[in-house]
Amino acid sequence: MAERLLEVTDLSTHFFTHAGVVKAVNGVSFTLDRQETLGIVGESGSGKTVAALSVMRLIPDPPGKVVEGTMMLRGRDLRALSDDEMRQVRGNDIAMIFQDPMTSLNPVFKIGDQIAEAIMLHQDKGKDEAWRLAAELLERVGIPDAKNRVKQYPFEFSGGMRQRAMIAMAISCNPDILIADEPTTALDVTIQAQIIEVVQEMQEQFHSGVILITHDLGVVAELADKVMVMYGGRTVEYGSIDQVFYDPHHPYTWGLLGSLPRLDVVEKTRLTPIKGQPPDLILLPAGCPFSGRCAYERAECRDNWPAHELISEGHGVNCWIPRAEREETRAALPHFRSAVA
Amino acid sequence: MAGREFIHESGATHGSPNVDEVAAVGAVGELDVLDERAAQTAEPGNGGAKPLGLWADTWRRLKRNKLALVGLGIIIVFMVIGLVQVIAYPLTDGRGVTPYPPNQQNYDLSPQGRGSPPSASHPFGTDYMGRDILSRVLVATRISLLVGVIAVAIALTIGLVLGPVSGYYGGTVDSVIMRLADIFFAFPYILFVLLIMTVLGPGFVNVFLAIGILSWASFARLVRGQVLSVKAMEYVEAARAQGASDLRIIFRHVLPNSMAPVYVAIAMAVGGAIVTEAALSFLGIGIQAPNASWGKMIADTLTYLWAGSWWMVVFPSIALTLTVFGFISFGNGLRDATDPKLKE
Amino acid sequence: MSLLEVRNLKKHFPIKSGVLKRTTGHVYAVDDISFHVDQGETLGVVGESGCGKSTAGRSILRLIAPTAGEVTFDGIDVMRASRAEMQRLRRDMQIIFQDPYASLNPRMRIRHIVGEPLRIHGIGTEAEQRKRVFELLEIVGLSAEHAERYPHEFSGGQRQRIGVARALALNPKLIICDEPVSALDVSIRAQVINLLEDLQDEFDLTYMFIAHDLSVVKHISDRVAVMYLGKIVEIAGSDVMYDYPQHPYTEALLSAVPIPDPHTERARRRIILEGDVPSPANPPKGCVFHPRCPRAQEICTTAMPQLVTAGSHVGGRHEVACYFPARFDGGSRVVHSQPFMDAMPASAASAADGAPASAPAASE
Repeated sequence: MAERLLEVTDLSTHFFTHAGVVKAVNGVSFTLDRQETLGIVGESGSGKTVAALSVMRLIPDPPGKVVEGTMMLRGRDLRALSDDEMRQVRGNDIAMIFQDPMTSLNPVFKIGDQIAEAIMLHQDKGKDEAWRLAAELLERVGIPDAKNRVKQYPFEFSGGMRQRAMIAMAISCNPDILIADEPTTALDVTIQAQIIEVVQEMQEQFHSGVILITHDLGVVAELADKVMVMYGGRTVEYGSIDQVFYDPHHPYTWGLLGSLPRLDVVEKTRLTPIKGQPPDLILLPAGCPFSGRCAYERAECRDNWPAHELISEGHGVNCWIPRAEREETRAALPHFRSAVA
Repeated sequence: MAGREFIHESGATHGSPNVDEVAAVGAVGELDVLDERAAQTAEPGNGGAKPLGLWADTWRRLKRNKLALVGLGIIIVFMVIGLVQVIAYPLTDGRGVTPYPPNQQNYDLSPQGRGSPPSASHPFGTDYMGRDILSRVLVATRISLLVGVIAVAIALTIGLVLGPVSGYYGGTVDSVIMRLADIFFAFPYILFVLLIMTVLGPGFVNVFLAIGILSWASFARLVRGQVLSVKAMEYVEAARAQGASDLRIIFRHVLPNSMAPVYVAIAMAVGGAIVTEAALSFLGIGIQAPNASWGKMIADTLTYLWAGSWWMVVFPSIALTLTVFGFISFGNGLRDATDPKLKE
Repeated sequence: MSLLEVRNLKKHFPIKSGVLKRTTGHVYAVDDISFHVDQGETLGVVGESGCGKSTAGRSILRLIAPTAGEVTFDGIDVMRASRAEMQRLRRDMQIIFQDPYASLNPRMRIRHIVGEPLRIHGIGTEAEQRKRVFELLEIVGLSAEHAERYPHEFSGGQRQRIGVARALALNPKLIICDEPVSALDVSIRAQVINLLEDLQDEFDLTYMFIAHDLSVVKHISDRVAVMYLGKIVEIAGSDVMYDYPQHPYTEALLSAVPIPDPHTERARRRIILEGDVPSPANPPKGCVFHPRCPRAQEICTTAMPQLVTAGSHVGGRHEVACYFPARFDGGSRVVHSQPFMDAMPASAASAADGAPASAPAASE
């Protein structure tokens, strides 16, 4: 039985600005076990990045605040920790890789310095030892000629290599959880494949849990074990990969799957886009944030957030459409007839 | 942005062209999106905001800066008085809107030739010729306003043409214009102005010309800096793709989007022009009698300070200092308010 | 005759350094590519960073001045066109940009942005232009009331539509789409893709669709060209390319694209390329792909292979630039151990200097 690493319940993070309250995350819950990969999927405004930053307690305050919810890291209440204690947790127990490797690395320090810094901070190692470990880590993540590369500056690394360096930094203290925020979005697709491979290898070696934040359903299908679909700050559906991809129950999930052009589809089908625009986080409706864009919306959707419905073990959805009707509607969608097995 | 190609025939890239900037949606972190939304007031349905988004935000930040608001207040007062005087001057045959004719001498009011101190009938006192100082200070506002506006207008006209042209074309044109600007920068400002005034001769219009001609370089340089980044924007490429002429591109697309630092510079420059005029008049090569300018008033009455007639020097000095202070603090406040990186 | 014919197009950017700004090298952004696009079809151009696809698009429009090569549009020689001729040509060749936030002048109202092409070319009276602008906005799915607003009031997807409206203003024949959906949210991409497809049908448009996302390119294109380091390494019909990739880079690219289908993903065989994409300032000698190629051999270091047809295929012309292309004779994939000598350029002696030119590709 895998160890439960992280348990987040009813997380809500709001930003209090002069223009109004931005409800970035509302009532989001998820768990992560050892060696499990959770994919958090959503577009801009979905709240996925804010959710991850909330767990790391990296939300700038002001204007942001975690207004509600519990976050338990192996039984420890993260919200109750002091700033110092949280700093111990960051990098050591939970590490994060950010999206843009170009701006996440400090350009005036050598790569070795940046990795060694993390090591010296969390482990009782001297500078020489830390640098040695840094070089080892670079080699582990697949950077050739690591012993010399570790003395270089970020500008001497390519995008893919910088991302690897970031991964090296993240795993340097053997964290239980690795949060990867859009780690491959800024990279070319062949480099993306390399990075995905590195993340998988590191996960196997260190038995860590991985939270993968992305808008790319393909990457999720490749890396994740389970998926949480977010929209407008809320979780609309979650489940295992197979459940969400092959038995999706939320209209937004259908919309996402249907609007993707696919490489493996034989006949040319027209894409089924989701009409409308991404949500405005200040003017979210009291009910389902997808209302206004949903093709199957009903009267109660706008004002009432649907109750949670458990479809099967580990698979849940929040939607007012009754289950039978949902399955019927879904069966009629073009992309479910042709593409999905 | 690293490695963007310049769309110029003569352009060279620095480093490899990385034109595939992927997924700006992801790159604009969600927090940035929140900032952008937070700065605007939203309307449902179109995901948009009111048209004044850019200026409204600046005004909001400016309002928090007390000093800048004081400066703005001073500027407004100055503008109103100055405008009134400018309009009234030709209409009232040189008197302006004043309690007394500014040039009316009355030696009765100047016992011992030292003027008379502030009183109920003459709040600023009278000078050595018995002229009412309050009236003279008011009328001199006209000069300062005209200098501020006209000199800076001249500088802007030159600078906002040479600057964009220099930045847009680059190459030799850029080098020539910038070296020219360097020459203007290299000379100490006041000395250069003095030189020009000596050549042109003293007088009203020549003051404006001298100050204006010597101030273009800073505007040109500021605009050019912005132009360098604006010209690489895709909407400029789009205009070229439609067949727009260079003239159209520079003045319809590039210049309007390069103005951000210029507004601050204008505020500062007006303050600077006013002081420069005062300095010139003080030195005697600016405004001539019987026109009154603050600088000239100070020059004429400085000696009387030692005789104890402080009011003749102090009031014009206060007017000058306050006005320039107003422009500078507003300018500073504006700069802070438009700096996107400055935390609130 | 094709609507657009490109022959031996090159764009080399000089790298200047030092105090005297001497040219110390070149960035070989586009290095001798040739292709054609027929009226009404969509040619997809796909590749990763530094492959030169965006530069190629801009060179065709003469937004960048090409170093060498010929571009013939509608029978007219674009490279040698006079200023007046070029103005005329610009009405027929337009471009849509990638960044919806940077491609619209933030200080201009939508009505002015969309109407500017009409003003520049002096088409119609002011009233007629206004009418046309409203028409264009409706065509792209916006409405006339949006005309008075400013770009920052719109979302990314809407701004992209405005860019499309602007491109359509002069009734062009060819539109170069430079990564038009890469910067958009996933759910919005489909809207814009569908819009582009509909417009193509309605106005008989021809597209050159440049992108790095293979799934999108496959969906919208009739034919696809794969670029790597300034060269076209393979060009074929969309479906054929994806089912029967001949070039090793194409194979690697296809296998690297994540597919949103877990079963398929788990069953896939991945080809992971070693190393990074080399800099176009310093391309490898011989075949530009050989340092990363899983099946490179000695001959690959001699000269860049030409784009030629290798093997018989269903579904039309299929060209590849490789000495060891995969073949699909009789339904199974095979790579011969003997090099495919048809790809060897006539001038087999490659230059000793850094300028990697090869003999003209045998296209057409």
